[in-house]
Amino acid sequence: MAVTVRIPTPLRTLTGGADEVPADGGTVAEVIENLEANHPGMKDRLCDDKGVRRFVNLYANDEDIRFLDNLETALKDGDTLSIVPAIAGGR
Amino acid sequence: MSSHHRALVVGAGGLSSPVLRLLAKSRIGHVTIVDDDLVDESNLHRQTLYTDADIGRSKIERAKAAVLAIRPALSVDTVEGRFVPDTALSLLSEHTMVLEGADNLATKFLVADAAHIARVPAVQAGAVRWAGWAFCAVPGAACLRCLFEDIPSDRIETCAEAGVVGPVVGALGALQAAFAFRLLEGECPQGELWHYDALRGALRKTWVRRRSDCPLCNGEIQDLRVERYTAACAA
Repeated sequence: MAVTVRIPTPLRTLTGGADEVPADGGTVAEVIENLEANHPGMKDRLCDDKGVRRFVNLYANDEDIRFLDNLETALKDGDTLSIVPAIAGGR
Repeated sequence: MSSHHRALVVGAGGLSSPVLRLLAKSRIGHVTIVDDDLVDESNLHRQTLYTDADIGRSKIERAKAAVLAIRPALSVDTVEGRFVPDTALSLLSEHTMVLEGADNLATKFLVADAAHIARVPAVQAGAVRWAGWAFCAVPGAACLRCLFEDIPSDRIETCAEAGVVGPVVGALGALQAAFAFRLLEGECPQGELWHYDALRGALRKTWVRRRSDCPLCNGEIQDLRVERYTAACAA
């Protein structure tokens, strides 16, 4: 499945500055593996040994994957996976 | 006519600059501003409350002056210091909403926890470089811990370290003010999470739902012990 992944600014150093990248995979987990293959370091920024890091949210077409099937959430052609990390600044 | 609403504004920087200017033009009855910092020249590109003449002066003092210049009759208190666990609940008990514009996640989680315990709506935001988020938690609905779960153990960039584009905090602060205006109107903007990416020119809304395992929503967090907020709670 060909999906589009939205990359937040803190992770664009891994994608050469791209704010969106294409990726392949039938599940969120497979897409993350594909991202890691094409943009090394990405998986570590998104996941730890327990799954998706606690301060990172992944949205499959604007739905939080924690309310779907988490890393096993199915994706289809044309879907969008958005990465939303905790961003601290503001002052 | 002024409303009975009283807003606690945590931080007097980039996000809070538009928040305070817009609150001064609303029918809010009272504003309390919390900050411990001085105006620095490096702040001026994003902290639109201040001018060159304010450099080196107390932010809360200059913020209060700026707000009163807009609406002289507004009731304004200031608290010079950081928003810390010891005083968080007593401060919140005197207010009907809190708008948080701090520069670190420890304070953001402290505000979220305190607001949930005090049953006060919390309007929060975060921004760095070209993008950020704004979120409103109201009692009984999804909270910040439903969204981000806990303070990251990893280092997270702040504006001071990575920088932020002035219009990003301007836009997100305006979204926070819009949440406040809706609360003033009696609306309940629960679970709305706005994402703004100035570089892509994208503004997007998603929804945060209550997580069944959220420690704040399910009552596991009932106090504000300092150890829970691992970083210094700078406002």
